[in-house]
Amino acid sequence: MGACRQVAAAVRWNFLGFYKNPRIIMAFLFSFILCFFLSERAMTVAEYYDSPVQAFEPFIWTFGDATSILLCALLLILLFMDLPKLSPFTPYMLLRMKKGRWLLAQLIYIFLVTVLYMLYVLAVTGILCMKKTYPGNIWSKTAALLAYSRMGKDLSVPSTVKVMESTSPFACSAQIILLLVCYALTLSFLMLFFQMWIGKKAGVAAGLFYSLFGFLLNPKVLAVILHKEEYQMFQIRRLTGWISPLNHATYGMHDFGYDVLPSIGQSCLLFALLLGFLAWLSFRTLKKYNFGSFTGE
Amino acid sequence: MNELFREKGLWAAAAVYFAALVIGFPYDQIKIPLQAGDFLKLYQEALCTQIVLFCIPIMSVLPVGAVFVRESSSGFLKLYINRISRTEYIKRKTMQIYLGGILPVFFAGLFGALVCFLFLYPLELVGEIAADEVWKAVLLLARVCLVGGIMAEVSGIFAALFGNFYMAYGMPFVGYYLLVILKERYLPEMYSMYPGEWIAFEKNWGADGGGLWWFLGTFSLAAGLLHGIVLYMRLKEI
Repeated sequence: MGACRQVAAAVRWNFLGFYKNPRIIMAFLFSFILCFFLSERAMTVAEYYDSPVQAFEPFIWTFGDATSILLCALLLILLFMDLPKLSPFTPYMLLRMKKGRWLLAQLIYIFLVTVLYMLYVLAVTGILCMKKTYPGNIWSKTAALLAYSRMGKDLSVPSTVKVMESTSPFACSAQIILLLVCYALTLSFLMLFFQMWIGKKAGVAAGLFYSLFGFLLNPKVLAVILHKEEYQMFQIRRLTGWISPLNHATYGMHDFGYDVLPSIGQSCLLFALLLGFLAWLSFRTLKKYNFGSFTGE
Repeated sequence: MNELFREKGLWAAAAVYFAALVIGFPYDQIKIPLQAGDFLKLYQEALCTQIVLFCIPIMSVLPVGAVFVRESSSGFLKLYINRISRTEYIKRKTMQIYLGGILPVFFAGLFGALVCFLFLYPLELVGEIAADEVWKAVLLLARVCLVGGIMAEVSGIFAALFGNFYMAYGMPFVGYYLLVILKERYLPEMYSMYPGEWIAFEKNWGADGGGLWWFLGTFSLAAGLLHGIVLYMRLKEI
């Protein structure tokens, strides 16, 4: 019980000044602008068919795409630049609690901020498209038109018959949020590990490299690099679907009964394993971590 | 002025603006032989592209938008303010920041016009270029410059208010796009607060179109005045 109280106190301390920090404010405001740019396709579709869409459909169409996920997650690098949170108060905290509990508090802080950020992205996408949306949990006529026409493919809007048949908009967005959170958590945990192991710049570099790795393992990019033909794309999709973390976070790159791609559950399990491994590495690094500087920022 | 020309950011911003002009140039509209004056029309189209509109709130604030934060955090301001009066400092900084927003666009625009002339004018059929067309291109460049200046002043206001680089460089971009979002997603009729319209100048701005110039002039003055007031309040604390 005492341990939980200590961890909770450290998490609360991390959140102190969170909402007044200019860097945090800017990250959330930039994410608002980014959602505007990314939801442009969804609005184009709604305006083209001149029919309303379900409130979560713009979010599903926007963040069912790997590039959008990548751009959205990149802002997390700005959000988590100062990890692990050190301040003049940290030595007093460490005198009263174990280092492991302090690190656990950092991980919980990352988890809470990531969830908050993703829920914010969901809300903002909905608000930005609200003139053309309705709240009911039923796929719109626009989604059906998109799924059965070529326009969805031309605009790269991930609206497919298999998705519409297998789930509802609320459930689909919940699954996308889950995948986004998992991807964002791996990015943030990786940054934390590298920041503790080598330094702040290494943390940012690791975050950027992780994103670049995901981008390069995009089926279209990889097909261009490896000079693969259209009929060989299924091999590339299968390979990247399993090895790329970004594709694990992309809803459309999952198995809906026809492909040999990971299911949502398998992707979450893989992310959980990766997160566990990164957390273990962070705990190991903590033993040698130099708490020499407590000046804060 | 010399202080401003020594800023590497000014030349970097001008180079990025020029790159934006080159990337956004409507190459597909070049049909040889060109009609007389076509190079000016193409130049005007290049100045109104989305990429140039995107660059304005980023590149115009880059040279000296956060100069107050830089000078106050390094301690230079304390030495500087001893040598000149408070009013003189405010006058100098508001002008410096405003020009820091205008000049990168101006230099890039001027260089762009020169490049257009050198490469496209020889491809035109012999004919007379209407003075009206030249004047329209000059006014368009002036409008882009003014919007750049306003963005730089907004950056100066946030720099003085918060004393933070993130706020100084980020808020003009956010404010600019909030206006874009407001018009494109919620109020499609509200063109007067739409930055794209300030540059394109397509809607009704009064009988002679002078409304837009009054609007941009007043906006510049208001931003400069507000910047001056905030700076004055900050300098009182020193």
